[in-house]
Amino acid sequence: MAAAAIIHVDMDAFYASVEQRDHPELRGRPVIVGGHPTRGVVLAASYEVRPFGVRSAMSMVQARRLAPNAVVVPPRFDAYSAASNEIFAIFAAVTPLVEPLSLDEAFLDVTGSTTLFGPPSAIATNIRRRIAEEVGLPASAGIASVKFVAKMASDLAKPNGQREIAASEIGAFLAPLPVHRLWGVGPKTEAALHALGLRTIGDIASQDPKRIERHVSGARDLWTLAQGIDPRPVVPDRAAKSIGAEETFGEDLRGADAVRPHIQGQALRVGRRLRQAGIKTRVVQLKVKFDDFSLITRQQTLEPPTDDGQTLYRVAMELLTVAAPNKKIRLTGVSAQALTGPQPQLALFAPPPSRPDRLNAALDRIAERFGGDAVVPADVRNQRRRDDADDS
Amino acid sequence: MDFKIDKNQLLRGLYLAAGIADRKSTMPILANVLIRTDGKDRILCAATDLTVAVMATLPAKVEKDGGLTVTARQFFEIVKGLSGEEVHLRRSEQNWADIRSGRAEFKVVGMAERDYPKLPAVSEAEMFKVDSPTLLDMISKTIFSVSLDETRQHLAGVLFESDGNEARMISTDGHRLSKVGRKLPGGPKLAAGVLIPRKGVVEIRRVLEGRQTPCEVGVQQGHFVVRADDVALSVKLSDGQFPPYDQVIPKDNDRTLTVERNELLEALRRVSIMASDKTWGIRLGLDKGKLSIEADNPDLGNAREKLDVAYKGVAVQVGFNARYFIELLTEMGSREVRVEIAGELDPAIIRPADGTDYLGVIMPMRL
Repeated sequence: MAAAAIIHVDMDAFYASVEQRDHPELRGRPVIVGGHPTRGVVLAASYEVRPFGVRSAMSMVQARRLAPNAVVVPPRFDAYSAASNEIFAIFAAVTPLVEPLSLDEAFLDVTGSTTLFGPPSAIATNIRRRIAEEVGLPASAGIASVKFVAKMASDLAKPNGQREIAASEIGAFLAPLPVHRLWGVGPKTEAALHALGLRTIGDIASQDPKRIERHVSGARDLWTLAQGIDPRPVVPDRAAKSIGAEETFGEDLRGADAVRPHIQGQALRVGRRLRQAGIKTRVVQLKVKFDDFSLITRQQTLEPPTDDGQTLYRVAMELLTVAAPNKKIRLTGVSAQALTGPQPQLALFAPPPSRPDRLNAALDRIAERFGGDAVVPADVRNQRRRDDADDS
Repeated sequence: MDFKIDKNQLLRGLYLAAGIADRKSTMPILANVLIRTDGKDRILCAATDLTVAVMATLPAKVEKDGGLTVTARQFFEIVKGLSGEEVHLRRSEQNWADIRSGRAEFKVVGMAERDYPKLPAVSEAEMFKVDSPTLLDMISKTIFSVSLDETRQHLAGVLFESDGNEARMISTDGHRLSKVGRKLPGGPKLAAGVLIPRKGVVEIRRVLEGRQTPCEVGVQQGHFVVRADDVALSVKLSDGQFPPYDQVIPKDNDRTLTVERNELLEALRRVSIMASDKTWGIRLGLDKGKLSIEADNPDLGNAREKLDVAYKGVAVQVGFNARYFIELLTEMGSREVRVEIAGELDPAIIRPADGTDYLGVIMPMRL
């Protein structure tokens, strides 16, 4: 058998690139996709804004201080999800062994695809070309015989590039990289490694693992990775653990009625994503952040499992009423936990689709053609109008 | 209350009562058996969980009229362990039961007879004399596929249909269905089927266990009544609507094969050892002259067995829950069985090859 060939594909500044694609006036300009201008966090930063030091997950306040001239746009998750579907369809045309890591990132095991499509580097070039031509977005790729090296290679190839690390080069490639680049090395482990005088991956690789083990937990695994050994296979269709939607409000809201339309909008989004994925949820979780930044989560088990947004909304509101009587709320989020796939055992008496099922199917078809905002409940729409008026 | 009774007679009544008395009920008295004198030569031994009631009228020598109730489980254990042949039972103050036999003596806390729920009247029911072994056979051919999901009332029982000459029992848990038909001359003429809850069917089987002589059955005021000599059983019928079962029995499955029942059963038992214990998923593959059975378990390994069968149709592979096949084949008495398949998502039928009126419908699994 040929050596494994794994490609890690990662979209460049994914949300920001989608915005620049759809709004030509943003191209070449520093773009930040983020929640609320003063209160949210950076969801994506275009390459034009990165020299200012703006990074994903940074607070919007800090990002705007670093790059006051950046254009801030609110996220459009439906657009990102649509682009993601197109990208994953391109992956699927190359190999069935696709392990999604997020909307815009995946491992592909192309070991068995080389006879059909040529060497791995040619496959990666072809995937990036198709994404550029068909989806209109830049992507980077890393190619290696093991997963974590492929991921490091794509990082170093960014933006809009690709890099292949041959099996014989892995040692030399890893050696000069700092230890924190290894999977599983956080600030604590990094400090412990530094204390032992180990600063690069090469330092770890050349040590006796027993020596490190005495000081650092999990050292054996780190040492193995540092050798360029990563036995983890590409696992296709790794099931998501939860599906959620959340939102930081423009101003703190007080009381159930004020947050009601927001929670409804979040619940409906989660419902639609569950149905798209063909799964249901057994547990609804409500997340609430108060004006003092304290955070609570409350959850409720559902019987039977559901993919209906209105059901999620009702349960989330019940949880809210119990958990947050009349406090100022900064953020809410609704998520579906304990996801269940379709039952393998088929039923003898297929129940006729219920009214909510039929309604959701109709709404999903409308959303597919005209976008997720084409039909929304009246109070969600009214709330959005009020928000728009506030913004102007 | 004061009477003497043969130990084995009393034991027979207590055995049935202890199976019905409900220890988990919110009504403590339902864990008790009711004992009451009935004239000079008989006593009543009864228990109910409000769905099923058993009433045994047993021969006894009554000294003094009266009744009491006492915990069924302990009373049964006490009487079972007695060494004497006769039991002397007496009520003392505060409804205590005095039990004496040989040199043993028990005093057991009881509760007042008048606090016990009213038992259904069975004497007015119009009864029909039917063959007990036939009834028992029909029960064991259907009870295993009754739904255990108490929230699905309409599937949690056996449907009984009878026209006075022939009778049918049908059960389904929503994934598979069993249907058996037998001649039952003299049976009740029912306009529509009655749905007997699972627990009631289990108790009917206990009452009729091993019985060769006929029993009597009848339907009265929403109850199914069975009488076997001095024991009467009344089961409150379920008001759930049993699904239209005829619609899910395929009429034209065209991929059929005949196979020796025992050979298939044994192969399924062997291969299913490797199936997942959660789903019991196995794959049946049909190809010219061959039936293959495969189990593939990522955590355990795999197994495969091939049987020679007379099959000439197109090749097809269908996933099934092996347990559904095993339970059904175990109940089939014939030497050979016929398996009728349509497609990988369509219900399959298994029936005895000797023409007996019995079949099982099994929905496939996605594997």
